Amino acid sequence: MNSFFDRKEKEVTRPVKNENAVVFLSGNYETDRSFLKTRLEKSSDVLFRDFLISGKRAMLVFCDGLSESVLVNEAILKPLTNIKISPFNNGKIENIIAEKTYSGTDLKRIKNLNEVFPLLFSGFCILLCEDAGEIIAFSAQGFIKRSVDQPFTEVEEKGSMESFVENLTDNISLLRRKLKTPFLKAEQLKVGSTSNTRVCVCYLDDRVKKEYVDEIKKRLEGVEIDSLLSVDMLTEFLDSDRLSLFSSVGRTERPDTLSSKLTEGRVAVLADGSPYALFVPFVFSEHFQTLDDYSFHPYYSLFIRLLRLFCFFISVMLPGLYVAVCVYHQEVLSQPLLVEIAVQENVTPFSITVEALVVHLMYEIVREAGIRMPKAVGHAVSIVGALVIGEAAVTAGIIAAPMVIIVALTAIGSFVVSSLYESVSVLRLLFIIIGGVSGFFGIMLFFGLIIINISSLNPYNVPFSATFIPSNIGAFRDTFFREGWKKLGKRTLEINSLEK
Amino acid sequence: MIKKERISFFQLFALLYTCRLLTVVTFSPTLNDGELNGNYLPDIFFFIVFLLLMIIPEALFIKRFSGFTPVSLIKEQSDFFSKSAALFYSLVLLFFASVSVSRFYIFTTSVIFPEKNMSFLLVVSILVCAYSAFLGLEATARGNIVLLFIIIIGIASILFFVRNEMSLYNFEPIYSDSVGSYLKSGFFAALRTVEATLLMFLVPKCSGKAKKSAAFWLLFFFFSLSVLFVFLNGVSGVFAETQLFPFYSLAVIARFPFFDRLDAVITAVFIFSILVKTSLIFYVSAELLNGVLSKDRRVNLLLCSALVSVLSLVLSLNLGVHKAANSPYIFGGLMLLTTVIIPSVLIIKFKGKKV
Repeated sequence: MNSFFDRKEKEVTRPVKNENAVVFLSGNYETDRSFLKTRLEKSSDVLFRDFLISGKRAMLVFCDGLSESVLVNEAILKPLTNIKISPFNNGKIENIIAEKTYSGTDLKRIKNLNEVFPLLFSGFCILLCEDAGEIIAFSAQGFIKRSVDQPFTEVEEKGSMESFVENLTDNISLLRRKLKTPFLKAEQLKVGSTSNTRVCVCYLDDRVKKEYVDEIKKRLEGVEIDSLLSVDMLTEFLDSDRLSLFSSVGRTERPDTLSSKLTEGRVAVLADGSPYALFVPFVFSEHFQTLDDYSFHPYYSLFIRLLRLFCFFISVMLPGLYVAVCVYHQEVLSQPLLVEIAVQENVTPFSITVEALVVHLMYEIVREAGIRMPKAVGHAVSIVGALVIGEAAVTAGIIAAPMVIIVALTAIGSFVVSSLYESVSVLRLLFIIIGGVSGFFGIMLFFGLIIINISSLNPYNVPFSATFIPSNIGAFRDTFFREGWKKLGKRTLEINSLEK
Repeated sequence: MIKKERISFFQLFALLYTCRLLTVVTFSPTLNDGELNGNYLPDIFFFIVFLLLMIIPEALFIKRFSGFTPVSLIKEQSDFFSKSAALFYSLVLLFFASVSVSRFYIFTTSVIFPEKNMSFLLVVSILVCAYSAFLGLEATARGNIVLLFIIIIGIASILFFVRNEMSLYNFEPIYSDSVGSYLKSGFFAALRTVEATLLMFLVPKCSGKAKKSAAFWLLFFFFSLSVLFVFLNGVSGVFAETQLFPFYSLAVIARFPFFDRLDAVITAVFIFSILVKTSLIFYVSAELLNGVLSKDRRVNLLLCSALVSVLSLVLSLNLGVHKAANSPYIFGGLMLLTTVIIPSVLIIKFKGKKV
């Protein structure tokens, strides 16, 4: 069966090719020039400037729109054309150029011609010179980028209003501003055979477990992907190998959140072009923690974390429990409530299970439309959604009012823990089906299975169900209950101490 | 970054506690014909005493042959006998699992879904247990802690909301029956302790403080069992003797301000405990069958699931068949053989030998 699908897949796809084979400089200027020209032909934004450096032929290649033209002219081209190299000078020409002409900050010297292209399309200016043993790349970035904005998905009441942006260098600088320590390391890799996306592995060298860094780098180097367009595409590569509806990779768009995770000995992964960061190891209880919890009083933090946990259970299990009670276990409800629900549900044409599925699917449609549709017509979705689902459907007797209340509670509950939305939305539908088919029996069995599945995840040897199981009383200081800062601030959690 | 599976002794005894709790809450005077008496409290004491006496050979075995199970020890002498012992132990454990599952099946068909055919759901449940076993011992042990916490909260809430129904008149005087009947009940209850057999195969996978954990969980078991039976007696009295599942009836009587009945809670308790117990037995059986039938754990688990599905449906065909399987002579005999006799024989056989 698998081979049939594999064959069909091969008919419409091609393998991911690694086009970054090493092509060394030949030593012949014309040959190398011709190689670059051929590779970059038909690209109207790539500009070539032939000139002489002290009588030797040279060519400058840069990308209009990515490189700052004023910088190219003043800081690179002008000094190069004016340089005078004595014929008795025995030094290598590339050394003279690198040391005596360019006053910029970033300069790279490369011998592999294929390494030119990622640098060229990152805003570097490429210099090929006759008799030079290396190609020199000058930093001259001047492309348009988004400025630091406030977070869209992780809104905090009391926290900072900065979030990550698409530019990797800016993101690392945001981290540096939070953690002004030389121990903050940022190792760069390239992922994506076509996109050559820069990926950065960040960690605090004085507290991270080296095995985490090595494991993550090993996984990233083993990523076979054509183009990495978002850091979230790396989640599956960093995640546990075990099948689960829950991801054991953390994700954030806030530099302050990521900084706090790094101080606990975790490793972060950032990618160029993506305003989010991933971090591992990650444990399940962190879904119910936000940065605001550390700004509130401890008693309120405890209350709000427990509320989030309660909302999670409501959003996952309430519809399924409602269906199970209405279909199989009516005796559980008190008589007045039972009569009221029965009267409302009696007039609807669908069975309760189907009704629940239909309403939840309609809600998912409205939610998806609200995310995808243009902002200008966004109001229409909320009006249509409220009128159609809420008002008209109930009035027409298609859906019962209790079901609308259940859906509303479920939806609001799921937004409280938005990081779990993917898992919650699928689990919710599964619980509805199971509740409709087998009542409490199936719901409890499935719930038990989910608990055991969560307990089985052990990425990077840290149980996903830590700090509950294995119980680590020392870590309870900041799980649901948060100690006051006078005590909490004296010591930081070491994530590797939670290893099994 | 994958390390060998290991759990703590605390987790091990928590697992065994959950397994034993299943036997307690699914206790049925009707199905345990002949061992009923009106006051269970002395039974619990004698049950603990007999249990501790029964596991002495096992404890000596574990101490003498640390890191070994009976099967791995026999392998030192003969590969054939080792495989035979592995097959025997796994069949016995699967039989024990089938009895528990068939008890649970009787519960669901008589109480939860009397009009529905539950065979398909039973098979699905067994497959879920097999999947849990596939996820490994650590997953089951960790999941058990959460489920046990929910179980204890559930049982405590039932007892709390049923407290008003308690009456001193429901208690019979202690020792109103002869001491002999309590000894017999305690002994037969000890004979139904499957967990003693599981212990031998799980101890090599544990680390930590064994004595402290064992003492804690034994005391907690004694305490919780006493509380459960005090409430059962206090609320139901003689009425409990006529019930198929007295603890379920207790939950039905409980009144919560918002809900009329708390039987959903006891159903959840039953389901969680059967999930843990069956998963654990499947795990141990699959480990035993590794190398005997197949080296692939999935294949072994599927075989175990198939056997338990068929056997549990057969055992629940009628109450007579179930009673026979659950009788102290068959059930208890197998338990004595696996927990007392075989370890004793092995201790004598390997006396003085270095392993």
